[in-house]
Amino acid sequence: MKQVKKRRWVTVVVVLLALFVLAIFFSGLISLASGAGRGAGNVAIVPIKGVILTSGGGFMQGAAVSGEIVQQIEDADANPDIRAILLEIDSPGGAPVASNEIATAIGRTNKTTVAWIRESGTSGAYWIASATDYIVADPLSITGSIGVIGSYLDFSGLLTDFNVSYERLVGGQYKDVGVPYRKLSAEEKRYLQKKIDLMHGVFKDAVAKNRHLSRSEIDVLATGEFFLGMEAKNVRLVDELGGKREALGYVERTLNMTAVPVVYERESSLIESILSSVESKFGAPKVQVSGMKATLQ
Amino acid sequence: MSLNLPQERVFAASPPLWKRFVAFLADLFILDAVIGSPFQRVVPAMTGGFGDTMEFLNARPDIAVSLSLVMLAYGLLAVLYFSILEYRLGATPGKMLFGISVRGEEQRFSPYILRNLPMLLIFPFFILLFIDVVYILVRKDSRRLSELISRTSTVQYYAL
Repeated sequence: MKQVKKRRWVTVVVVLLALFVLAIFFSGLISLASGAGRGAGNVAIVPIKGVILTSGGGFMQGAAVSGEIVQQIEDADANPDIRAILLEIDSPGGAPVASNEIATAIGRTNKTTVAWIRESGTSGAYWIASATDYIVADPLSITGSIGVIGSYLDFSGLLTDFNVSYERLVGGQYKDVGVPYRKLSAEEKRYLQKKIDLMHGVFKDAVAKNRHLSRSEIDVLATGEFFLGMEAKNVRLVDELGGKREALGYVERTLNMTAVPVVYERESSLIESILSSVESKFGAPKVQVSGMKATLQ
Repeated sequence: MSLNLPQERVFAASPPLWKRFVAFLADLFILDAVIGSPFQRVVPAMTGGFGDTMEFLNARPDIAVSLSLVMLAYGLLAVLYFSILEYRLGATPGKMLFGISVRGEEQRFSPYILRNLPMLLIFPFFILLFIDVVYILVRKDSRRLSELISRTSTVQYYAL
């Protein structure tokens, strides 16, 4: 009798599991087919979350891929129903080219653009924010950090301890500059520093132009220092303290309309749609740094 | 040496309506937990939140097609839930909890699909749901129309 009862409940559990899997499959399929997530509205919200990169992404990495974001901005710009673009930024920054691509795309739009900085909008993410018409940040948002970093780990000492040597075979004296297996010479360090300074200069110029700051003003601010939102407002790096409501409020005042937001997101593949039906919110993005790679962080 | 005791005599009769109703609610709760949760992400994403659904649907009639697909998928899975479990085990978990079961005149799967078609939440099947309720209330044996058509019945076994 007990065996019969046990078998019955096992059958129930098996059937429920099978139905659950089918439900996930159907919901993923419907989500994909309907393009769920992009309904009607007049304010396109383009999320920029995670490290900003030119490639990567995929459903597990949590990176903000510049090509996809530029596409979303262009799609919003081309949509006659969309009157404004709101960039929802929660990013520590990322690669300089990727950040510049997005900032350039923002500059090319003819629509009102607003940046809404949430937890973090530093470095490359701030470069992007500065390209918009108006920046709203929470008083406790971390923003600014107008600088370039190219630091890396030097493993040469560790290799020596393990009697491993680096055989240098290069054509061109700077070909292997920045490899972590040998120390940098003073000349090489100057060479790399010059590149970093160049990138820093481009970054500073862009922010100065976008935020209408003088050279001397930007030089004081662009030390790589990060600012809380309330501090950033005092030095004119952000325009208003607040959140989504304030960002949409600016749009409404400027365009004299009621803002109806619609999220512009990357279209998921079938697998991503299915998995997103069960997965919980992603954690922090993983970033791999190999060798020397300059990033705006 | 077998004692040859008289076997327990049982007879089947229609269970009280409250039992059927509460068993149905229990099954709906299980259904919502198991197959409702994956769809919860899809629907708000389409409509921006349940609160503004009607306003949104008027503005975007094309989304109504997608919502219909969600309802169809949900209904199909609900039909499978009831049909498979009633065919294989004679009862769903909700019915098992209250000691009621389903009995069919034929040992085939199709009558069990037929009796659960009202669970399809699309026209015209959901109309059957309302007709079923009326039939339960007016008939002496409390059988639904879909039970009459499929030649199945919901019973409770009583021991004499």
